[in-house]
Amino acid sequence: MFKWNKCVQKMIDLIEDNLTNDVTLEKLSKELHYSSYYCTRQFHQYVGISLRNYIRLRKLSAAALCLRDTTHRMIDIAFKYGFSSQEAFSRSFTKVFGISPNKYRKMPHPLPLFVKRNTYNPYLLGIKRDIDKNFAKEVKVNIQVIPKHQFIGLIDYNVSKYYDFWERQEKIYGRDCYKVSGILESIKSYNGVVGGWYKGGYIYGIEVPWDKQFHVADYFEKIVFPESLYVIFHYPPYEYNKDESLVFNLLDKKIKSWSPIDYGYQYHDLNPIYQRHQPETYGQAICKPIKMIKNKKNG
Amino acid sequence: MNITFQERGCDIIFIISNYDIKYEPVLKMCYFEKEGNSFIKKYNKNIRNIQIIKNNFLNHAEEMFSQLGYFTNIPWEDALLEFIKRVEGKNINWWLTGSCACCIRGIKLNPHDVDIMVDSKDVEKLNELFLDCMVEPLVDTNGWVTKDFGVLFKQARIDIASDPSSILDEPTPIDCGPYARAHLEAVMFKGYKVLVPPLTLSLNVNKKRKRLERVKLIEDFINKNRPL
Repeated sequence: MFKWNKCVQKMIDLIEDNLTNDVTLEKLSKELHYSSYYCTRQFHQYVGISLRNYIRLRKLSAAALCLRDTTHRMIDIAFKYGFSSQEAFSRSFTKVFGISPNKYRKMPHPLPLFVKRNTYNPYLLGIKRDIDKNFAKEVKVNIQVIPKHQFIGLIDYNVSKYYDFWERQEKIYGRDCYKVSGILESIKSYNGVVGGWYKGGYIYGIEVPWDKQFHVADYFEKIVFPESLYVIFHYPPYEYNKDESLVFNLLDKKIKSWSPIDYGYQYHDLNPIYQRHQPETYGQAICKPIKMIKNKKNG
Repeated sequence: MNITFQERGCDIIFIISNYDIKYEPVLKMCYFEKEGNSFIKKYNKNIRNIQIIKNNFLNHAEEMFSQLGYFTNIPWEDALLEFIKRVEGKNINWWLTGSCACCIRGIKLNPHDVDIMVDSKDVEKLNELFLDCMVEPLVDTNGWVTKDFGVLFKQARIDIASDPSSILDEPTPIDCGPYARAHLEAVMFKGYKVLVPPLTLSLNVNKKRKRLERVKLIEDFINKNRPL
């Protein structure tokens, strides 16, 4: 069951690990032990885009972030992502993103980046797995200051859960999760794209410097939040498709058992709760705003 | 503006130096690379007829860049007409895209060049037909968005590209992708039938490039011409 969801996910993961290498259909089909024809057909069916275009769009999106975040020469970036020349890279970049790489590098503005797809999501597919707690790592708790910042993203005060949030966004507003994520990821932010909760609703966006102007579509909310102390419950990197439920449960358990009063703090709701979620690289963290309890002696 | 050429290994380099600073953005837009105080572009020196193309470039480059920067008048209608007359009856599949495709419908977009899409099977024929005005060789660029690319200059710049890739239609179809090619509409231009993409696709590409003035002009035109 869901064999091809898994196989296509494997292809996606292989592509992701080889964005700066030559990823060919032959290599992918060899890994999967299926014919090239079958692999490419299944990929198109599950991802909704041809394998060739998927690889190219992912490479172009990675190249965009490389332009934004490094000072590497453009010709080196072009070669790194498999273009035959700087001109070929510039021409493709301009046609796909509507702005030349030169202009984007000088003044990075939101681009519709093409983000990694996920075809094997156990939660969405209704797959229940036995959680192997033996491999669980420890949830670490620490207190940090999150400075004054601007939140740019979507807010829906009518829902409080991630999947309900996206169901409404996609059905009511026609906003696709991948498209929104692509735009948000193209903006350099403190912690990448985050989820979270604010005033009872669900939020999805990025944290950026409070005094910077970003020209994004009107449906993105822009809110400046003041500096605040946060308690961070952090679980280290894990395999998303395998351990997401386990991590969610462990974080939830830790949050419930951790009492801020014991440490001289209390939760507050002037700032949002952030959920940082980059399973393979950072792990997952729930960041809850706290403040010191006034008049507490010795505390 | 000085135009010189240099051979380096397998390449021939088109070099532009001593140019007015106003040309810098234009040269960048044309994918020339900065090298010291010059802008350069490399081609394989074994490209057929490269000597003729070099001469054409030498004779027309400054005028072409001047037009591209909107420093002089751009007779794009004459250029398009010249192209149409030359390909007429030659069994070449071609269509017009970019701002000229809107202009011939009556939308005043102020184009700085003419964008022509062709099938790669006709590239050889085009190379022969337009050799006298080819300023950048029409060759396979190993590009991800189109196969061949080349530039003519006949009163105005004419960009020619072949076989648009379906990547151009992700996530939304634009005016030069395979979707456009499959939905061409005929518009009359000076007595000739010219195939152009649907206006909504021109609108998409201008939205994507945040060319808001053009977006407004196209939207106004669509609204005015909407059937009651």
